[in-house]
Amino acid sequence: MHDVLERPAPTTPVPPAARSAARRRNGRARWELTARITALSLFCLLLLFPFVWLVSQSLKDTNQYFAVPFEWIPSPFRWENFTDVIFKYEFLHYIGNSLWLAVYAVVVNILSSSFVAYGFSRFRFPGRNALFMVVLATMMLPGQVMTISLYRFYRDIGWIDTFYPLLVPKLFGAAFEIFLFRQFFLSLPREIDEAARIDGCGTLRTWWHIILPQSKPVIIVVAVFTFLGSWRELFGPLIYLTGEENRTLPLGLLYFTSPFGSSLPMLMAAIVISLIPPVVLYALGQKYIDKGVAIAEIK
Amino acid sequence: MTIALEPQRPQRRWWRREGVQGYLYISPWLLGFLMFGVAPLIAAFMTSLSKANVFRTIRFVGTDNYEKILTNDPVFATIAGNMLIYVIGSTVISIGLGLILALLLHKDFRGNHVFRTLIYVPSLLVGIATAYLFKQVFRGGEVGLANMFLSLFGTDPVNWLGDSDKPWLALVALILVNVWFAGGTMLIFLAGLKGIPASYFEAARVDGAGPWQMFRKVTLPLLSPVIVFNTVMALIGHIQVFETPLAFANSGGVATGNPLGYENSLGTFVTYLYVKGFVYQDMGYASALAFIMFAATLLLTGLVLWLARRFTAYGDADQN
Amino acid sequence: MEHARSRKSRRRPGVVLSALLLAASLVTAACGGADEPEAESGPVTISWGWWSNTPEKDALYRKWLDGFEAANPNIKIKSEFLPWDAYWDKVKTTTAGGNAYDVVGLCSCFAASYFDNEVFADLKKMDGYADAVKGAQPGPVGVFGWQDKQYAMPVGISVPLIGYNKDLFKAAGVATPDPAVPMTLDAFKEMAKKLTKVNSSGKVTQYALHPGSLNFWESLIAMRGGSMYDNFVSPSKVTINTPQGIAGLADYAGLFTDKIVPPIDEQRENQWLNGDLDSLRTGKVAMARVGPWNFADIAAKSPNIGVFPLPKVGDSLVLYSGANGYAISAESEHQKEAWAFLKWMLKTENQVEFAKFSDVPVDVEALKKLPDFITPKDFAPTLLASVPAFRPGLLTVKEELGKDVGLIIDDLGRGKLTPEQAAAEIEKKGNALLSQ
Repeated sequence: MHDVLERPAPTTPVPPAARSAARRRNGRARWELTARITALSLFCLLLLFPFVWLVSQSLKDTNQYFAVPFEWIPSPFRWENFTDVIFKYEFLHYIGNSLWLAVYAVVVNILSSSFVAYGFSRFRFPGRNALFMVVLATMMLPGQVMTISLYRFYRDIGWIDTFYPLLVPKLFGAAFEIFLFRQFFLSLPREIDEAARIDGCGTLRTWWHIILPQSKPVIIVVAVFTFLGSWRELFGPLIYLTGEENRTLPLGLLYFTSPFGSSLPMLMAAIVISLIPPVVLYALGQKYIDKGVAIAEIK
Repeated sequence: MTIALEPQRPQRRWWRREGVQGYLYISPWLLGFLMFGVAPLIAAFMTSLSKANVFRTIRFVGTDNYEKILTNDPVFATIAGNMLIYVIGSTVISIGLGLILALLLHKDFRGNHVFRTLIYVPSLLVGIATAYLFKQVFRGGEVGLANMFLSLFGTDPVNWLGDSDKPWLALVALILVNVWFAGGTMLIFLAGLKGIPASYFEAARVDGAGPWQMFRKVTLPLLSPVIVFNTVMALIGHIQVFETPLAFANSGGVATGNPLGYENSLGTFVTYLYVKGFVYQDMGYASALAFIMFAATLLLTGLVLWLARRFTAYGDADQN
Repeated sequence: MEHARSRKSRRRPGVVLSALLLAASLVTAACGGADEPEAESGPVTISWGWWSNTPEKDALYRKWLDGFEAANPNIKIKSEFLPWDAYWDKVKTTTAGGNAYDVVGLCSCFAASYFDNEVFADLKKMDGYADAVKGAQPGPVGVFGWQDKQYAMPVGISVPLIGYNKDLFKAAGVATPDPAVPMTLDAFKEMAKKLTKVNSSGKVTQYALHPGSLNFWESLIAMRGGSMYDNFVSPSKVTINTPQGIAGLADYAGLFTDKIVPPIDEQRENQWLNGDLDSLRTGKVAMARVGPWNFADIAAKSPNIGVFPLPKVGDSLVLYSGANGYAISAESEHQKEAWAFLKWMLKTENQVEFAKFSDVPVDVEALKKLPDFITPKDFAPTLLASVPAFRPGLLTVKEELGKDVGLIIDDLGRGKLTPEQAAAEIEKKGNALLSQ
């Protein structure tokens, strides 16, 4: 649909004289690739150094944990840390709670935020720029100074001890996601909207059929960020919900940091466990990032 | 492609008007903001004009809190200095490193997925995990990971977070933590790079552009909305840094020592606000701090957006 | 573009939006039913909060509450055990938001600002108040009194003891300290010097004592005959700058110069952990603060840890510490049931059950029975020797006071201030704060 943008690809056959130049370019490309991979590998090594430490410490008992010199490969391995975290502290339950909240946030936020962002990026209306600044501004005031009055408001409408304070506000879009979508919509050529309009699409259908399919890369990014935002949320579930059945993962981690005798190896095991769901989801999502782009470009 | 057969109606219904439709599309956000955003905002502002603690407002004091913060608070002055260094240093790391990583990964090669996943792993950490892991990285003595790394070069162990003679070391450590979190900006840059049609690069290549020219003439301008986004978000995020400095300053467990670090060297706007409002029970002062911080963020964001409008193609909405 | 496809998909954005709208309206409609009042008949449920220790100990705590439910079939307790920091965040937010637990678990360490803002019910106005408190030790009860009102009731007191790693003592050839008689400070220091190990390159590899959050200087000043404040509960003046006060500070500074305790910067940096059971378990700290709250954990996992009382100066031991207890939310709709719980927990038999897994009982009779039920059994003499030394620690709405004093004491420990300078500085800063 955006053939307006397509420039004819150069299909000139390669003249024999240019072959050696091509080979030279090929050699350079290979050298470039090696450099690229080396740089990335070194960086990843640095980045993952603490995580190797983390995994190593999660498989020790308290004495091994503090042993000097440091033992990178624990002997013996203490797998009980993991089974204790999962069964004694009911981590699967916490993960389940955090997971459904995060999935809800992802689905609802992508729809509502892209909808709002479409309005901000494709229509001219009085006060648009000012209102957009307000969207940004809502992120600039630290939430700490508003928690108590927000809590009182939810209490007054009877929402304490329900999931509403966690679920309802997400229906209205979130500033970060609106901003991200808007920036991407701005970089989509206006011509595709025009083409859709000529095609007889209303603006709603343009959003759904034209803009969103073109935005798969950013939808995936928004999904990742929204998921993590919700996955990390500690304070909301803590103050609005009461009861052990409603504990979430970030709160679960805090149980190992008691000032009355913490259990550091178990904390490390819990951290490793808390990393598994997002790492798996993210690694799987990687495939879709590329697939999404492929679809967007073929259309 | 079918062409619309119906002739365009000259008289558009009122709800079809562009302005009205725009408001309809942003109405969910507007509604949410009016319901959940405005009242707490006003309440917080009123608190900033009062003497108040967490539990109640004691009396109205006008702009006293603001005046005291801006003219007569040496702790705030120290913290403002910390923040200037921290925000600049961290934003440079987030944007620079994120962009470099995205450019390195924007090419298709075997193992690309693996790198992308690995680089993003630190960003998947949850709250307290970040604090614990990075306290370990910057732990003093030879068991600290940063010190293990330095010992490869024969350097003596550094007491990163607790050296009362060199309190600035802790701030350096706090800035360095952002190296591990460049995966977030990288992800957004990558999505932005993917949004640039390959034909643009192709055309530039045909015109004989080298890699640097390609970057300057194609990548950078087309990526500008994303750069603006990342810069603004990095600024907002870094100004609000909270958990890690608090964890770095406290020795853990029952809080001891100065939560703002030795001689306030690790104090950030939000940790100061938290300590003032929730620990020392001066909520009016904390709210005023929040609004001063808000104004500073707004100013910086405005500056970035203004620069973007001047120097980039898609920096803001006006060109639509 | 195919017509069939486009017609089918034409409906989709509308469907999604109506689904969203529907969800929104469902959610908002449902909230109408959310705050229906509970039916009058049937048991009343009261909410109850405390901080979490370990899953095992939380389970024992819950079992104790089950005992209350069995004795009061008309009252159910909805309990919540939260991690330390999260618990206080929640208590503060919900109290300020007017929706706290009916029964709020409280540590005297954070109580002052709650009391001063009158967010809890005055227990003196409750039925049978005098009867309920008559068995309790007056000291701990006094900790929760505030300007002639009683905003909470203690359930147990925290008495700090010195826990020691028996293996390290054996390795250093140090005799086991007497568990029942406090040593003198001088004897303690002589012993401790043997427990700090320095390697060939002059680096300390083991410290004798990690003082952790034990504000031991307060005790030292008191045992020298001085006092930090004119009154530890709601002080109006700092009274440290006296020869006795300076002598106490000098004792404290001596612990650093003799390398008995780790340098402040290394303590703050957590190199020797927090100065609690964990520090002892590293095998690199010979002594650290432990208390009855650790006993179950020690009995289960660390047989190599013993206890003895803190050292004394002069005739008697003085320990400043806190108490834990319960308050009733001023906005609670179930104050009567909440009060029933407080009365229940003060009874001797319930205090005994409580002390089996938690703090030292406040009930005098229960305290007498302590040697019969405490585990590990051999810790009883130490506890009994230390309990009489208990004095309530600092309780003030000026939260900065404790913090600021702590920072000056840190500089004393670093050797940046002499005891005289530290005393003068604490007096100056403290009094400026208190007179505000």
